Amino acid sequence: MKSKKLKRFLALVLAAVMSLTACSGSSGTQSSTESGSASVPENATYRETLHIAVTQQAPSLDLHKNSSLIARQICDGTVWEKLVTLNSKAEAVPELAEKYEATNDGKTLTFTLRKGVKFHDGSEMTADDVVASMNRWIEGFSSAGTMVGDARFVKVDDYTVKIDGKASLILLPAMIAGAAQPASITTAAACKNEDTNGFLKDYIGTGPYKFSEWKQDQYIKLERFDDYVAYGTKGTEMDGWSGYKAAPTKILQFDLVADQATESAGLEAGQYDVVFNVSYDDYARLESNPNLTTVSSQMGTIALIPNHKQGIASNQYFRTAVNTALDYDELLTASYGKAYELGSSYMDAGQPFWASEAGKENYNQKDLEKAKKILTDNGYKGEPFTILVATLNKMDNMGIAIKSQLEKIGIPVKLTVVDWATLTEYRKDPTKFDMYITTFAEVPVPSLKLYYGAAYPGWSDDAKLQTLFKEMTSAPTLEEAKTKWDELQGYSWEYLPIICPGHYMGMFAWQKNVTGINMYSGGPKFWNAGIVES
Amino acid sequence: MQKFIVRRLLSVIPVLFVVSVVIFTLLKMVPGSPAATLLGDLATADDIAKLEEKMGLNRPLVEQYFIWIGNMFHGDFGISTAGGEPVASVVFSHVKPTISLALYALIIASVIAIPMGMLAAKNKGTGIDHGVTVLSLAGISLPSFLFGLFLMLIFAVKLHFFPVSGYVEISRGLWPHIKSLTLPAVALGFMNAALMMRMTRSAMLEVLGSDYIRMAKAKGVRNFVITTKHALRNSLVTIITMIGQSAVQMLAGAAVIESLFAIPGLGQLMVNSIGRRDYYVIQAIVLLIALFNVLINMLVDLLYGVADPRVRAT
Repeated sequence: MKSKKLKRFLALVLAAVMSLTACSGSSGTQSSTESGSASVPENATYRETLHIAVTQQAPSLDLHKNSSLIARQICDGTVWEKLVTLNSKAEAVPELAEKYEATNDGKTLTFTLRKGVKFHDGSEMTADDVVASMNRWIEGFSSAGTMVGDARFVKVDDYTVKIDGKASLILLPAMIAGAAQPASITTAAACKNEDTNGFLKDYIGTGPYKFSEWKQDQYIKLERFDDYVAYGTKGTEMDGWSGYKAAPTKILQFDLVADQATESAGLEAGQYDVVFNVSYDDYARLESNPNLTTVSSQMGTIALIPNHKQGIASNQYFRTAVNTALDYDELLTASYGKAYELGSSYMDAGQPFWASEAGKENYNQKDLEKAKKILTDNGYKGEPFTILVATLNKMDNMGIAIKSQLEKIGIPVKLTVVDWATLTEYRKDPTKFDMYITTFAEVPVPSLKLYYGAAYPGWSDDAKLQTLFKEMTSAPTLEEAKTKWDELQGYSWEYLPIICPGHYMGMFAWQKNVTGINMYSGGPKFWNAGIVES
Repeated sequence: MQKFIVRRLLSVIPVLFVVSVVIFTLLKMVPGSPAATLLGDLATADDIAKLEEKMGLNRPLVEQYFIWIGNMFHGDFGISTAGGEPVASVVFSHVKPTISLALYALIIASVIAIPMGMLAAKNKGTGIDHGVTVLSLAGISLPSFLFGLFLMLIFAVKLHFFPVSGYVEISRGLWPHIKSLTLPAVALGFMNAALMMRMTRSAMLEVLGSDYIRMAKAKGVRNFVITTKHALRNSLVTIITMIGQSAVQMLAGAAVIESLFAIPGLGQLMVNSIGRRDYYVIQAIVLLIALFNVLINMLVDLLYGVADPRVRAT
């Protein structure tokens, strides 16, 4: 009798749970890949706080010295602004500068500053602040340092600065506008006020939001800067990252939610307004929720970097055989599910000017027989091939897929699976790997592709590659630089400084009632974002 | 009693010394550098080396150890590489949520486990006993994150009774504070309740089978009095031990639940700090957990005396 009652009770509990779970699948189908509109309705009242869930914490918000993606997503263009920014064609257009000019040889760049721009501490931006900030950025960002050499920004007058290079600096504006370590402008005093590790103590920018509070492992809060001096035309759509920033929401709160499943659940429950880095396991469910908008966008390049200094991968024939054998679709599915796009262009979709098809005949060949022949013809004796891979973003799954594919052509693969911090240490040592797997965030110009540096782990110290790279970075015009880039990419698909299987996507979702999110590049931006209450 | 407490407190010193040497050495053996994680992927080897020099990481290990220990005696636990805050304030801000969560989970675990364990023991071999056994087995077998997700789906996403995640400080109101911790505390408490239930049941069974209980029954003492006054009191030593162990576990190892529910506690801080090789923070947390362990064990020993006069006498 008792057991019958117990069974009945358990059956009831089970039925209740099942009916609750079933409710989750009953919502209609809705999907969107549109960028959020940047226009702000006139006279609208907005909810005071926008809650944005992010899965990672930034190590620092000092963007001069740190390339953390999440720090950029939170602060670039929001707290910090730059002399120039990117428009939708990935061109550098004025932001804190009124205009900029280059001499015919591209060696001198002169920036005329906007007048009356206010910092968050109330002071006005002048050439002294810009010179201090830009030179601090050059010192902290190796790619900028490599491009300008010994050249530094100097003050011409209170509202004009310039830089004189020994070679052409024609790619520098785009680098200032969109580098992964942004050339943020802060006050000259803030540049001097560093902590013991040399990072900024105060986050004082000129953007529409000022830094308010950072609770470690909890949230970062930005508050609207009421004295913000906007540029562009009110009420018009933004062009890329350029244009009028209205800051309709008083507080932007970036809540740290380390678990992606929790983040998605929080969005469905209405606790968060926007979520970053949605896992592809959750994405389909969120896509079918009629109350949500889902957006995915290309965020960067996936790279398999062979060791050119020593070991089996330092042989050209071996790299060619590996590239000939691999099925990129299968590799990327293993790590990214559906969150990737195939494509032989080393540059990402956000930079149409630099898109190139050069070398595409060597991309994604999946030709096992040809690969085997290359190995046999070159006397390959079955030497082991060590792949170093981190568990970050399920990249170890890609390592397993590569192992499985290469073993079909007789290459014995040894996988070294570590955490990300260990990978960054091990890749410095050429005895520890024959190839490692990593990703590179989107960059505005190919001169920021780190793997062309002969000293970058992978060590592509090839004379022709280095010459082509130098010719591209020192070209006097953008058109000539593009021609050289085509040539460089074509050669890259032969020499293989990296094997580029494709591009990874970022997946984002937000409540249907959130307006004004900018989705140009590198994830959502919230300058014009808000929830209209009335 | 005072001598006992002083002796136990003094025993903390060698424990902390040994733990400090072990954790310091282990961390230095692990590949990866806080400078590299702080600067990000675009930093060159030269940039990293310069920052490591600034951080003092290129000094001999023994020197680094004594600098760390020496600074700690002056109240300086170092600077966290994430955010550049002093380690003491970072750790302190993360201890509060962990203590709140652990206390709440312990209360939930005790409230579930002790009565159910008693009930099972009293009704040995019946449906109730089997039900409690099944429940405790389920609690032990079910991964806490899965149970947490289940609770989240039902009580936060569907019913909106509690927030999905996040932590509200007690200064912003007791009820919002309790609400923010309820689901993680239930998820954490349930697993511990399962273990405590089994221990309570077996301790109670042992006592209920003893001669003096039979004597009490023969004298016509009421069942309720026998169970609560005689049997439970004599099982308390086992139960207190179990509660002490659970408390240490919850303080030190709630990382999964904290991460799932975005509670900014010690567990989450530990996991994040390992990822970014934030040496000073990891070292401080390990020392703090060692200290918690010693203090909780001392408290448990003192409670033995309260529960059982025979222990007090020895």
